[in-house]
Amino acid sequence: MSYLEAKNIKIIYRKSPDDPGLVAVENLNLSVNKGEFVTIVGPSGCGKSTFLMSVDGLIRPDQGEVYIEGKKISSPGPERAVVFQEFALLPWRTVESNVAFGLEFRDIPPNEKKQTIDKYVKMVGLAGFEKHYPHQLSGGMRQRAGLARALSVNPEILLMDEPFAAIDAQTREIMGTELLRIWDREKKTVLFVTHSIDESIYLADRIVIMSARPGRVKEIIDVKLPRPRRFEVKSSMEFVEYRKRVWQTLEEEVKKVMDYGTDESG
Amino acid sequence: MEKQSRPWSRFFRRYKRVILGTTTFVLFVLVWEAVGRTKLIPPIFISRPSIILQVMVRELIRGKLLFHMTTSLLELTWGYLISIVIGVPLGLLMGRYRKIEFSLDPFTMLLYSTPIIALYPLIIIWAGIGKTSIVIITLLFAVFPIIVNTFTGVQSVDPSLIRAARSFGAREGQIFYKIVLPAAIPIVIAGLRLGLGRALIGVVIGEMFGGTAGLGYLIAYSGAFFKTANLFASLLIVVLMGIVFTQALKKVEETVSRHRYGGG
Amino acid sequence: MEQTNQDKILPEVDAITARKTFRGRFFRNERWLIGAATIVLFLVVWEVAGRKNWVDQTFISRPSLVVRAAIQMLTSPDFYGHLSVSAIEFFVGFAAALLVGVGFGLFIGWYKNLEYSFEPFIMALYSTPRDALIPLIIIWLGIGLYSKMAVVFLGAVFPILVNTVAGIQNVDPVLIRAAKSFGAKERAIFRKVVLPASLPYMIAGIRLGVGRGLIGFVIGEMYVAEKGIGFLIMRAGSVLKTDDLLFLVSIIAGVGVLSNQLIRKFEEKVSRWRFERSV
Repeated sequence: MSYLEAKNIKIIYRKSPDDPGLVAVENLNLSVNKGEFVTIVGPSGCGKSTFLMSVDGLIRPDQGEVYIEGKKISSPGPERAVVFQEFALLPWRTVESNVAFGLEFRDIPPNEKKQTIDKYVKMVGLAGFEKHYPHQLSGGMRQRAGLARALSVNPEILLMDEPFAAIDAQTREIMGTELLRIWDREKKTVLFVTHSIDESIYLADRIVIMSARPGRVKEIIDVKLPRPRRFEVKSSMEFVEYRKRVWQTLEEEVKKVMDYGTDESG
Repeated sequence: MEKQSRPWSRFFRRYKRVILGTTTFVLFVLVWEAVGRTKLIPPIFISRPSIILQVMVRELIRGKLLFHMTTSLLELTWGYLISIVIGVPLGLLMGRYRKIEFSLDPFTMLLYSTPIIALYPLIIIWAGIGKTSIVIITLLFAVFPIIVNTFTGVQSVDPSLIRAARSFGAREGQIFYKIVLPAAIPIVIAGLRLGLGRALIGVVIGEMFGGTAGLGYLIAYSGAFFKTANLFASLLIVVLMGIVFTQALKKVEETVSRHRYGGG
Repeated sequence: MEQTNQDKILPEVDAITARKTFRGRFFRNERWLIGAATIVLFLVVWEVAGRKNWVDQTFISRPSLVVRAAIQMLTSPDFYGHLSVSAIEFFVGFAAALLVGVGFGLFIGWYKNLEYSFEPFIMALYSTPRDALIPLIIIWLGIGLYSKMAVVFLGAVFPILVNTVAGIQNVDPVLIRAAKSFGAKERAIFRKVVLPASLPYMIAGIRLGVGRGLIGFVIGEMYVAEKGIGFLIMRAGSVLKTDDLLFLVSIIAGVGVLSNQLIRKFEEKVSRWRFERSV
């Protein structure tokens, strides 16, 4: 069994216990190796975020199991951390207090805590903004704080749920490169959900393309672009080829979603 | 494995809110009746539901209760309608003309923070004891939510709508009548609903202090003579009236917004 | 308007001091100027109308007489006796409302089943005109201070309760999910996320509660009492001492406005993060 293994995951999205519900994800199988950067891309409502939540243990699958290092998981654990699309920073706390948030649920001596916080605040480039409040920061800076928070609990797996979706396109470009730099340093396993095809190729070792609802793995593409990835690679012939391949598989699924008209995205 | 839910548990979950609420309510009434009968607490303090109901029915049949109810309703209608006639135009003016808002602002703020009832002796000095003063009190109670809501409704129009109208060449007056007013209607109606609730309170309080008839007078009279059952009966009627009025206006509010914005 | 030098900013369109609404441009201080001007105008007209007897003095008195009555009252020890009675009634009643409102509210907000059970009572009591309950309260607690404290309590407790519950139920679910993802358990989530997030709502409820509470002791004392500001108001009214009456009413109004503004300021300080959040 590989490092992270999802077997036959089926998740039903229900509004209340007796709602028959929509099947968000079905027959989803995925194996991830340690240290890999895996991106997950798919049409709206295909359940990619829902699947990510089940990997973290925030959602219990209706069928199937998720295994990490052979052990089945059923609730959030210390080896995983999530970075949220909406940042999810506590607005009444300063940046450093927010980064400390994850650590408050572990037993860590205070000076070690302070060192960890300082290290990661610096790593994401927010040095000097420790005492600022989220509302005083731009979207990109807030997400960097969210990333620092996730990193500071030293997880082995980073689960990132469309983390750059709420950030403007230009900042997004830079954030991607920054993320790769940090990933290279910290050597985490990353599951990165995104809407953006370019992002999914640029960041990944492997791309998981999901089908429309009920979501399952439609295709997995190995990305053989050299690391460290430079911004210029986005205009290379190989990159364009990958983009064509991803879109070829994805287009069909996206069209399926559009045919359904106004649908509920899970 | 799909979770199988048995019919009764499904029923319970769907109506959980209503079931829990009604159960506690029924329990409360039963306990009240029991305590009343066993005289655990002297009946003069709490009476009990059965007697209260008896009294209500008896007074209704006798016709006296109806007389007091109509007195209150008449005063309520007068006071409420006048408050609308004063309040809505005032709110519109304040919303439309900044200068008017700024000049009336200190007065509305002052009167908003004053308990209206503290003005009661002043109103008596002006209008004497009787129906007029009660209508004035009702008016004063109702007029503030109406003014404030009308004003807020005018103010909180989506600025992008105004910008769009301007880009098509509309003048300020046209913008006010074609965009701002229609957009403000839901909030104004909410203000009318609040105003009605406050008007009811105004009537009752006015009658409590200086009425010779009406529900408020009944409450004060029953209280003075320790006729607790009558007190509760009159109180209940006031509460029911309040609920009926508020719900009626809520329905109006909903129909209006459904009309304008379509389903949900 | 001549567009000459683009760097020169005409005072009327300086973005800092002028804002444009659909009602035209205005200056930041215009509100205070016009407001103050109207107040002054009003006072002057009132004084003149009084002296010239355009309206009978008993109906409206005039500012100078009101000021004189004020000085008389403020220098009589009798007045402070009444003032302290009212103050005690208010503070005790309000403190109780704070405890019950926040305490109960936190419970009900957190445990949905509790909320459903108590909902009919809270709704019924909230929609009952509190003041109509005064005769009943008098039966229960007599005509002394306790009944007024109860009236204050009843007035203040519901805004506090309802707003506390609303605050707890309106916490951004993403924040709770984030806390869970870091391993937080129920108690920690309540303490670290739910409580701070609902603070602005609670304070808004407290502000409303203060307003309602102030009305409480006034109306209670006016209905029946032997001491207190409300009692003084009724007494002044019955002997047609309009100047005393107006002074007393203005005290209440002043306290109302002041407390409202103070709490608002505090509210803004605490909830600065709420108003500027944008995702």
